Amino acid sequence: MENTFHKLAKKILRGSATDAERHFMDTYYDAFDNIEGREEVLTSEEQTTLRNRIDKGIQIHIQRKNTIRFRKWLPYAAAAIILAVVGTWAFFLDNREKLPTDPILAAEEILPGGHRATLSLADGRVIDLSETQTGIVIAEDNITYNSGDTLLLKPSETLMLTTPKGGIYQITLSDGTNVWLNAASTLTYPSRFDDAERVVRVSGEAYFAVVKDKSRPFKVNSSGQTVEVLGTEFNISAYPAENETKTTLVEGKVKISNLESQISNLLKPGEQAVISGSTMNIAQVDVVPYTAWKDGFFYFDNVPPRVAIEQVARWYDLEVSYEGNMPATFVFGMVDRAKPLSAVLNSFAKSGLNFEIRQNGSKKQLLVSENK
Amino acid sequence: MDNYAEYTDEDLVPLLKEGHQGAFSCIYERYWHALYQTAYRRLANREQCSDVVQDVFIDLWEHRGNKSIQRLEPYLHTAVRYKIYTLLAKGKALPAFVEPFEQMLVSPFTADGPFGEQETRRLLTAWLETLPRKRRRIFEMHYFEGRNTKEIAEELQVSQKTVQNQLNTASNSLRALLIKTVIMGLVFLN
Repeated sequence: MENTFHKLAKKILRGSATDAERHFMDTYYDAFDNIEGREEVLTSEEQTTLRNRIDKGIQIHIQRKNTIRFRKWLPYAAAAIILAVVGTWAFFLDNREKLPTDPILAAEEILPGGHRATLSLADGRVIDLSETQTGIVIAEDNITYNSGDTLLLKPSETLMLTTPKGGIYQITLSDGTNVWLNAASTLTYPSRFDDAERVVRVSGEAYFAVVKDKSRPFKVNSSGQTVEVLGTEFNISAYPAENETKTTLVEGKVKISNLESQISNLLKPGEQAVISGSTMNIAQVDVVPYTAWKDGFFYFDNVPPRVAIEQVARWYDLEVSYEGNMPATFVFGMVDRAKPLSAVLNSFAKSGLNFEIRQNGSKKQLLVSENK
Repeated sequence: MDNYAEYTDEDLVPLLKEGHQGAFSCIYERYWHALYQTAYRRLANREQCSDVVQDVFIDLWEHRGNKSIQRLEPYLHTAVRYKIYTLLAKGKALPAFVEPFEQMLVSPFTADGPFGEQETRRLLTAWLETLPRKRRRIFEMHYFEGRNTKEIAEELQVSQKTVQNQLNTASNSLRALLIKTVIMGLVFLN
């Protein structure tokens, strides 16, 4: 019988099969859907493993064939604002009620974030850091601003640097490692690293330029994962609301471990690991969109509008609500983060998105709707 | 990735065609398991089924500009079908695919056959349609009229050996020959 099917399949693929032959083959193929108990029984673990294995095979194959198309695109020294939105497919977002009593604000008045952060000490003290300074340096026995001005003498063991929405701050740790903390993020670190390893924790988004020290590996803990490095530069995005932790390696080598599934993988430069629950997916990415924030830009590389709007909202300290049916568009472009909100929104509005800002108590609310 | 999850297939297809990897990942999330099980029903081999699913998605990405991709789910299931036909055409041994058919030929209308009675009748009829006229008649008499080789030979005015040969040429494989022998046994017992 194998021979029968072999011949039939060959004829069908060659296009030389008769109608009757095609009909029999298709009927027989379809008949399997009605036989009971032929599906494979998989535990959810087996299913995850299988899913990842097949996915990896696909990714490897695809990446070999498709070099990243945007890699060479635009050196972002060009500070021009290019924001284009492509596509016109509808997707549905929850209807939220309007707040008609709230006053409408002009987007020109909404200024971008700046150098804002607080430093929390183990004794409970919280220090507001200067907005005229860009970063702090942790030294042996004191903490200074980048300018050299002393901030604190004899800091406690564990310190916490926190940026609010609209805040960004840079910190030099006691080993010389530089960390840029994006808006609405927290970095927890010791004032002095011990001799065995250097461990910090991040929530939100941070860019690390780690100083090489082979005898003391540098570890970054964040939601669901640990990243272990020797000397390298990488970006971690681990905002609690996003359910996934993205690690993007710019240079060097890191070992990344999923704390739930204990899966570990090595990342190569240009690779991004996305951890969500027990899964870890590694893909080749253009690193620029993921690290542009550190250099003062929003860089959207064909992302869904929600992703772009969330980033914008974190920087301009806005609460977002979506209204009615929205056109499913894709945002592509680069925006200077030092511009007022209007610069970003004007470009968005050109293609199907409409924005309104209202003062709601002490909070500013960004209402996003379809532009009719 | 989860941002695409709210999109319907109709939304995803145009995005896929423009080369959005996120849309592609979402399609993979949505369909890999169903496609895997569709393949598994027919192949019952994890390795082969993984390869089938993998190839289907690689093709989807590489041929994403193809106009024939309209309704995603039927498109993907058809892709699995043709991957399996391709394995057959290459001469890959797919015992799980072939066995139900052999089983059906041995004991077509019994309770322990793989397919129900209706289905078996439909399949046998469809299969007989593919055979040359004379051979088809022999099988019809054999399966649907329950005649033995002697009776068939007499009615069609051919030798009993010809009838046996015709029943045998349904396949050349060793395994199928064995089954044929069993069929012959049943025929002679009639």
